[in-house]
Amino acid sequence: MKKFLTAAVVLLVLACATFPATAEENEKVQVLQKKAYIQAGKHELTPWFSVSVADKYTSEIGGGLQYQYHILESLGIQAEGFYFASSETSLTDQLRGLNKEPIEPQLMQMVGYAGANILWYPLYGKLSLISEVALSYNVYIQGGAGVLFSRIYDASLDKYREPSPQFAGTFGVGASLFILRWLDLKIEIRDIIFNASGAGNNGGSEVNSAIRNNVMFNVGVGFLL
Amino acid sequence: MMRKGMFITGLLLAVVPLAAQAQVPGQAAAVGGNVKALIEEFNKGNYTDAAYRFFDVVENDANQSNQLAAEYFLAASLLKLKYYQPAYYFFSGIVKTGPNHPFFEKAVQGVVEAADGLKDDLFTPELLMRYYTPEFARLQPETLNHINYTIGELAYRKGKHNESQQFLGVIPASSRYFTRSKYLQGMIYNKANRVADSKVMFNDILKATERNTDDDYQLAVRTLATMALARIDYKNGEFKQAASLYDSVPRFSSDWIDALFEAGWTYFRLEDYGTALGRVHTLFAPNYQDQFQPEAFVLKATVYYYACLYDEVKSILGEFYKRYKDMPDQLNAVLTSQDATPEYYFGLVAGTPLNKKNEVPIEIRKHLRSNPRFKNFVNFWLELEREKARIKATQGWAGSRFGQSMTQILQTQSDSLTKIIGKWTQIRLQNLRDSVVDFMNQAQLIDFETVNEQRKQISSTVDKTKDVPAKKKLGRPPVNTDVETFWEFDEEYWVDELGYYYYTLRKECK
Repeated sequence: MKKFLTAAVVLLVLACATFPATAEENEKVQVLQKKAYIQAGKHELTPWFSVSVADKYTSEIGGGLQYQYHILESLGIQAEGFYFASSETSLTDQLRGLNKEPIEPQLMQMVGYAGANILWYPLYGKLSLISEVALSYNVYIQGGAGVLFSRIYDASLDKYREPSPQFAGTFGVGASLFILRWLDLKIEIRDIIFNASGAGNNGGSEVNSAIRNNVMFNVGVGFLL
Repeated sequence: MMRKGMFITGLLLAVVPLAAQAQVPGQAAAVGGNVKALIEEFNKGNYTDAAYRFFDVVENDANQSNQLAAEYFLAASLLKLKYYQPAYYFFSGIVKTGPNHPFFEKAVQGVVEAADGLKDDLFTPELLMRYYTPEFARLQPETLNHINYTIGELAYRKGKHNESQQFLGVIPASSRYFTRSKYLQGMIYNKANRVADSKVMFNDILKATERNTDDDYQLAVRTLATMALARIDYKNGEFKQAASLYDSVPRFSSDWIDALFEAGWTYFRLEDYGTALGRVHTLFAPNYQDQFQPEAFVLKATVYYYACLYDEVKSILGEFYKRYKDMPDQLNAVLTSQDATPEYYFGLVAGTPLNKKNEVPIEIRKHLRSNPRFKNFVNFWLELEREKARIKATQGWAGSRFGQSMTQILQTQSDSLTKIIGKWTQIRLQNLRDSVVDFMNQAQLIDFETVNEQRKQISSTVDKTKDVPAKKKLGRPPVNTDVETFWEFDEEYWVDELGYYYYTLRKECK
C-alpha cells in the first residue's frame, strides 16, 4: 500500500512538473499563412492501384478510378469503381486437398466494386523533406456503400459461379501528399465489408453466411481539375 | 549649346527609322591582300590566329586602310574570343576617332557588346555620352535604346535630371529598357516632388510587366516600382495602401527583406503591432542571422515601448547593444587606419573571402557584397582576372608582344577598377558607421524613455496590497480555415513560413 501511495505521489508530481504553467507571457508568435493547396469546390480524378492485405482464403489485386468533389476543405464526396483480379490462396488449396474446404461465404472472391463515399479531412499538416522542401498533406476518413460483384470457384465443377451483386459497405483511412497544386499522391487502407452467403463445406446443402472484411491497401495519384 | 544640340539629336535618333545597313566603306574596300586574307581567316572562325596577326598589322603596317580595318577586326576577333576588355579597348579607340572611321558604327555596337560581357556601368556610359553622334541612328534600334538608357542612367547618377529625362524619354514601349527608363523617370519626378507624375511612371511599369513573369530582369524592375510606390504612399501617410504594396513584393526576391522591414514600420504606423513584429520576425531567422539590420531591433523596441512592454524593450535593446555596441569603433579603426588607401579598402571587402575574418565585421561585409552595384564591380574585376589568366594559358600569346600588350590593357583597367571599388567601399563604410551611430542614439533614447516609464510605474499610486489578477492567456488571431493555415511558432523556422509570422501581443498600457 505504501509503495502504491509513493508511486502515485511521484506520478502526480511529474504530471504537475510537465503540465504547462498558466500563461503569463506577453507575446506569442504564430504563423498565419495562406493554404498552399486549396481543394474546396474542386473536382478530382484518381486512378488507384489496389491490393488485398491479410489474405486468408482469397486474394485480390486490381485497380479503379475514382471521382471526387470537394464540397469544403474538410468534406468531400466520391463515386468510384474498382476491378479486381482475384484468386484463391495457397492455404485454400491445401485445405481443399485435406478435404477441409472452407464454407462458400469465405471463398467468395471480389471481382468488382462500385460505390459512393463521404470523406472527412480532420487533419492538415506538413512535413519537411531534407530541410529543403515542406510538403503539405492531409489525412482523411471515409465511409460509404456500394455494390459488390463476386464469384466463387466450384471445385466439383471446376468453374466459377457468379452470385448476384450484393450490397457492401466501405470504411477507410488515408492520406494525400500534395506534390503540385493539381497533383497529389494518396495512400489508404480500406475495408470493404459485405455479408457473404452460400453453401456449407464441400457443397453441403445448408446455407451459411459470414461477414467478410476485405482489407485493401490502395495507392493512387489524384489530379485536381 | 553643344550639349543641347546633342540631346535634341538624342531625341531625333529615336524617331528616325533605321537607315539601310551601311555599305562596306570605300576606305575599307582598299585594304591590302594580306588583310583580306586575315579577314577570310576571321570569317572562317580562326579568331585566335586572326587576332594575333591583326595586331601585327595595327602595330607595323604603314597602309592606313589596312590599319583601320585591322583595328576593327582585331577588336571583333577578341570579342568573339570573349576577351571583353581588350575588345573594348580597341573598339573604344575607334569610337574616339569619330564618325570618319569606316567602322565607327560597328565599333559602337562592339563597345556595347563588350560592356555587356564586362557588366560595365562605369566606363562605357561615359564614353558613349562623350562621343554620342547622329551616326548612332544607323545602329540596330535596340542597341540605340540600350545606349540611350545607359546615358540616361549616367546623367541621373550625376544629378543631371533634365539631361537624363531627354535620353530616357525616347525609349519606346517595345524596348527591353522601357521599364527601367520609366523607373528612373519616376525617381526623377519623385526627387522633384512631382508625386503624381512619379506614381504614373511606376504604375506604368506595373501595367507593362506581369506579376509572375519569368523574366528576372523585368521582375526586378517591377519589384523596384512596387517598392517605390509603397514608399510614396508611406511618405504621404497612406499606410494601408503602402502595406498592401509591401506585402505584394515576391518572397525571396532581392528587395523582399527591405519590403518586410519597411512593412514592419508601416504596420506600426497602422497600430497593428502584431503584424509589425511579425514582419520583422523573419529577419531574425537563422537564414538572415548575419544580415546587417540594426533598425530591426529599433523597430521591435519601439513597438514594445508603445505596447508598454518595458521588460521586452530592455531585452531587445540588450540584444542590440550586444551586437552593435562595438561596431562604430571597429569601423572607425578601419577608416582611420594608416593603411587607408583604396587598395586597402578593396582588400577588406572584395578581396577577402567571407569565411576569413578581418577588421570589418562579417555582417558589414555581407551587406556591402550584396549591393547590386558592388556585385557588378566585382564581376567586372573578376572577368579581368579571368582574361589575364586565359592569355597566359593561350599558346603563342603568352610571352609575345601581343600577349604582353593585352595583359597590359587588362592590368591597367584592373588597377583602375581596384581603386574605384576601394573608394566606393570606403564611402559605404563611412555611411554604415554613421547609420550604426544613429541607431545607437535612437536605442539609447528608447532606453531612457523606458526607464522613465518604469519609474513612473513603480512610483504610481496603485494599491500594491491588493492581489494582482493573473494575466489572461493570449488568444490567437482570427483564422479562415478554408484558405489559411495556422501554426504555433516553437522556435523552429520553416522556409515556407518565412514572411508569415504574426505576434499576439499583450498591451500593458493603462
